[in-house]
Amino acid sequence: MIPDSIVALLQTGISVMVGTRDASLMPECTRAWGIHIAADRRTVTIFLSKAIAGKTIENLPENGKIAVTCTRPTDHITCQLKGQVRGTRPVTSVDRDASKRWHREFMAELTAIGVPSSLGEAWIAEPTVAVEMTVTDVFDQTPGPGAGKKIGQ
Amino acid sequence: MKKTSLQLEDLWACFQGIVPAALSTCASDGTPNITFISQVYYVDTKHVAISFQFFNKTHRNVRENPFACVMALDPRTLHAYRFRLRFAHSESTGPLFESMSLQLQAVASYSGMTDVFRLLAADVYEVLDVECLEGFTRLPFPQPSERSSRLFVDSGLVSLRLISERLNKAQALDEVLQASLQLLDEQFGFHHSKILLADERNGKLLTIASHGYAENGVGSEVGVGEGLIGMVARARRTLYLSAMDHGLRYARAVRDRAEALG
Repeated sequence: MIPDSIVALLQTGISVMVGTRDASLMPECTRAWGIHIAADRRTVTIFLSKAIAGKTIENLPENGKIAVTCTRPTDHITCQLKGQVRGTRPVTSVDRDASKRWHREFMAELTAIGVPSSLGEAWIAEPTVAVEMTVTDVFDQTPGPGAGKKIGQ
Repeated sequence: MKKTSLQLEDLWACFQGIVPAALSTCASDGTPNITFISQVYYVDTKHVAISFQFFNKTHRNVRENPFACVMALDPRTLHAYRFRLRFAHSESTGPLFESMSLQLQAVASYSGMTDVFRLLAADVYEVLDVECLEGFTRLPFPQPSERSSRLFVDSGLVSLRLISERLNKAQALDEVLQASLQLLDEQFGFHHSKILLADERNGKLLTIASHGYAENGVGSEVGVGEGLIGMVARARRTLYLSAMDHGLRYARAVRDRAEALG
């Protein structure tokens, strides 16, 4: 179960980055256009666009290993979720709404740290693929000596 | 997505540490890891460096499996770039380490965190590939004419900074002299050099330091006006000579001809 503090973090305007790898263990990274945590608090869905995440989307069915790091720009509170991909599917209107809500929150965070809103609003944050993953491990990644500590069960 | 032949220098804005970048690695058991990094440092046209401050998963992973992938943003427009990297080596002394360390310390000093923000090493990565992510933003690319004042500091100024730093550390005259000649060699490629003091009363020049010659020659004298050194001293002008052997052959030919003709 993802601990309460992390559930709360994942529901704010966080920056969501995704790490995968291919069969030869070559790492890949991309940005996700939002994250949604399910009621079971073990399943999260991230939203990707084929345009910028092609290699990531290729890697997923190959081995299903995934790491997702989320950070909140205004206070650098960061966590990393590791787990196994359960499946990918085209986004639905519900996913698109979730992604839009996330984008609004994220833009507010960026504006708060001084990024002109015109920059973030020009992003083509239009996800095409929803990736559902089972979270097996959660790590505290807030910068500092404690970064990397496993949290929760 | 489009593969491009982007040069690292063109992406100077991504290396300013204004927007954090993300770095993914993979353990030898196949578990991926992704972390935010505050800055990707430009090293040279084929290398970047990442600060190593705390023992962490990234540090362990690249020593098991050297490949890494970075996604960085241009802070002016938030265009995204992906860098595929291979861990090359770690530096814990030298100019790159010192300049990264100083940068961290300067920031840390403002927050009273100088003990925590200690750079352990500069991890240097070879850049295998750079990709510009199309379909990321609707904004046009920034004008390529813009240039960073920091990344593109004239190399002469970089040399001047290094020379000043090293000379400032010298405790005695002899150290100043030796360091000067050593730096002329390292920074400007003058592999052979000497410093001579002028004894104007006696019309002589005395060698007080020498570098790169088989015999060090310290203490040797040459008269003002004698030979190349003496002539330069008398003229009080710098002299640049190329094709010395050709020049000497030519001079010898003229001399031999003059002698033959009586």
